[in-house]
Amino acid sequence: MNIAVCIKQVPNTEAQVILNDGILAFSDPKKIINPYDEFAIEAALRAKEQAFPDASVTAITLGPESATEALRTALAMGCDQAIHITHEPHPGWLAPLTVGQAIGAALRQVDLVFCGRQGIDHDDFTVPYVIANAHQMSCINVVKEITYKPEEKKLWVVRESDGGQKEYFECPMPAVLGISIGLNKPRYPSLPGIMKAKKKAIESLNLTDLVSDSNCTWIQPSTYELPKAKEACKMIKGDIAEQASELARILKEDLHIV
Amino acid sequence: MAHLLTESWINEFFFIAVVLSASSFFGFTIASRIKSILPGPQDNRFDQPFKRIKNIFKHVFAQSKMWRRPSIGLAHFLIFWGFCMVSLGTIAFLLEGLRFHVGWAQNFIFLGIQDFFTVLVIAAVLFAFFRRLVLKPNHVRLSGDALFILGMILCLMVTDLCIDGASATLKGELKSQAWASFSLAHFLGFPNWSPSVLAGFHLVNWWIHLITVFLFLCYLPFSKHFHVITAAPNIFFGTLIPWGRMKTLDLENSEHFGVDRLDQLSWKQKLDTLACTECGRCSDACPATTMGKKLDPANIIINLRHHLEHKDVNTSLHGQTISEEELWACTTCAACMHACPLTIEHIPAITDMRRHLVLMEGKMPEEAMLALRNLEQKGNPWGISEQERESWLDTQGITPLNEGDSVDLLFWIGCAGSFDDRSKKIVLAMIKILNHAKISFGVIGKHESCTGDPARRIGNEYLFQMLVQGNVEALNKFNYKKLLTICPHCMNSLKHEYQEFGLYNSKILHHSVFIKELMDKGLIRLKEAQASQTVTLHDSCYLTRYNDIVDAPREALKSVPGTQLIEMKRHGKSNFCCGAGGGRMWMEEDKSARVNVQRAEEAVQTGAQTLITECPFCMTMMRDGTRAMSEKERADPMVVKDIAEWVSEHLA
Repeated sequence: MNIAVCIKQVPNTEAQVILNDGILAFSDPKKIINPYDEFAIEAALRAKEQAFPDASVTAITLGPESATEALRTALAMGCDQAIHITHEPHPGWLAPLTVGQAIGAALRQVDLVFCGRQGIDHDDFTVPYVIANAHQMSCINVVKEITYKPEEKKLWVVRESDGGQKEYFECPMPAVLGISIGLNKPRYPSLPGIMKAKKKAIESLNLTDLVSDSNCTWIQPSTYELPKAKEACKMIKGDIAEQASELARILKEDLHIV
Repeated sequence: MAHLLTESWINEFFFIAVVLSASSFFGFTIASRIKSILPGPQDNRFDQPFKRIKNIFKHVFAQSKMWRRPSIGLAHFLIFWGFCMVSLGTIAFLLEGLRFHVGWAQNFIFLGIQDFFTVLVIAAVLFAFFRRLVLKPNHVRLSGDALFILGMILCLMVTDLCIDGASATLKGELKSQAWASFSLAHFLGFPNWSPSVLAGFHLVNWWIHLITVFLFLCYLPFSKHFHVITAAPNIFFGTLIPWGRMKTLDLENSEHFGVDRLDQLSWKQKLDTLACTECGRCSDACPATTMGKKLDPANIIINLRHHLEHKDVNTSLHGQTISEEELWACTTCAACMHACPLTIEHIPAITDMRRHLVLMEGKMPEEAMLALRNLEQKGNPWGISEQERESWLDTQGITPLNEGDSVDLLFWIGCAGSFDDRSKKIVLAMIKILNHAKISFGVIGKHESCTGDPARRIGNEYLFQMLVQGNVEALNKFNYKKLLTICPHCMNSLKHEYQEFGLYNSKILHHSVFIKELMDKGLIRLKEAQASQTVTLHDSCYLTRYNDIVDAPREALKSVPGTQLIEMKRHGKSNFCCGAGGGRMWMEEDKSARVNVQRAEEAVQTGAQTLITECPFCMTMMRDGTRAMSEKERADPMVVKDIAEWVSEHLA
């Protein structure tokens, strides 16, 4: 029984996007695990603890050297092994189709795959479906609840669609599940877990060995534009009468509303 | 105490039998207690012997902490010294029992002093009975144990007088120097009793006295009055390390972190549990206990003792003995440690147990977990982008130093000063004061991270050490003589905890102290008083109890013309916490009444117009507290200002 959890390292959610001579950068170099993926890791670990005690949980990521930090965190939380798919540096990023194919190829025998529902950097919502397609597995994204039926090799899955209505599925295994926030509470890694994770070997695979060059699609926008900064509120000072007359003046003269 | 009736060999035989068996039992109990506390991590408490002896004089002989409640202090002082004097009589009593001649015990001066103390002890014991049974103060736990011990002491004293009176009468030596036994003998009319009845009376009292002495001795280790024996060693071995410096964990070479079982507590931490007299002073001072939360520092220590006495060493302390709810309620304000007459160290026990929960089990309140994740990922508990540290300084026209720059004063802005809008105003007020005094200073902007204080006190030593490493590397890139901060928590960590990790400079100043220094140097000119303004000062626990900073902010406030300081009942080192310490700032407080509202009520009760704080976290808590109160009472909330704001508003 093999469980896999796909994770991605993304920019810090609080980092500001900066555009320098047409190149996109972030104010904070610290990167984090894609927040949805933390819930996916917890879901994978709980699947093992609650339903498949003999299973092995593999964390897998595709990304630059720094992405190993995300894998170390997954190992510290309790994953059994980790795979890092590396690639040559590139100014753009890989198309989700390529990412899904690479992960699909790296996961040889797998019964359950957990992903975050989307990456918060590019919001593609795509990788889970591509992985499922590679292995001819069932796939349900935006999962809110899971019940395991290990004897029947089935899952009961509740999916929430936009607007909040719930959809109930009986899902055969193997399956890929895209996990949404709120499914669980990701655990805090213990210090012995962190220490052990530091020493664990991470299997390294090369992207070019998994996906042929002709199938590798890189995305690189021609140009970027950042959203305009919101204008700050203007506070009108003075006593009530002064405030009222100033407000009337702004509405009339500056904004031409009245 | 004279001895008449050991002529009979039966009497002598039983006397020796009682002495031997009771002494062996007592010795065996003590040995087994020592054996039970020994296994555990190293904890060297033998350094600085002179300082330790000084503490014995201060806390044992002078009983300095007991005098904070003068009437009880007096009663306990009399019981203690009376007991010491009376014990001399008991030694004489036993020596005579063994047929030694004890000349000094027959001396009438000695007998007179003995009588004096015997009567004092009786008076003090009667007062203690009265206090427990009639006055019943809140913090005193009425226990059969206490009454039994008091009863035994009373019995010892009364029988002592009876023996002396009867013995002197039989010998025809009844003299007025031994005034108490003399008076008792006349009151009971001993001279008119037949010698055989009086001899019988003497014999009965003598045996009751002897048996009570040994019963008392053998019972001690099983009662809270074991402190008669454990108090002095506990005080001698009390910590001499600043309270603000938590023990550093060796993360590389250990397999277990924090305290789960008794053998992970040091011998001194276990001795603490044997020394506790259950007096309840710590509970009385504790903000959590006061607000009706589950945590009671006395219970932590008492429950650890029960575990030590009754449970297997391999049983976890967590769960049945100490609950998570208790551990997370602690604000680490150290009011308990300040109150404890026996220098018991409650806070390290609590934080050590938190360390186990966080580091070994990843267990903590959800909001604490969020704060730790924010610290890990963003370097500050608010979880705001680190860029913001510089962005807002930039809006104020302040440019951070470049690496390698030199400056006299480095202003450590801290997370609150960088991310919390209210605290930013404190920073600006301090900058206004610095500019007024023409003090040049520098800031290091994004090179700062959280000092790690909340991480360490929540229990995540690993994260603390990571943050310290980053900050020490950053700080050592700049040359500065003094480091100034508006946050007592930053100050405490930088001052007490960073040297160990390689911070070169240790001249760390809290802004209240620095303002006072500037005033003393005449660098601050203040406006003439226009009208009298009343203020009250809410002390920060990390300034008063942890860093002995009590007077400087008071003197600074009083130097502002027209400012009249009205103290709250609990102030200075006895101040009541705002509720934010120990990482509590980042946890919800949803059970029972809130600590900050209680403290805000105390501030409002002074009738002062303004509440002054000296810590950004106290500021947040007091503002919330005063607002909650004003909502209840439908009045405008009390104005809360930082000491820097108060001074800056009064600059000439």
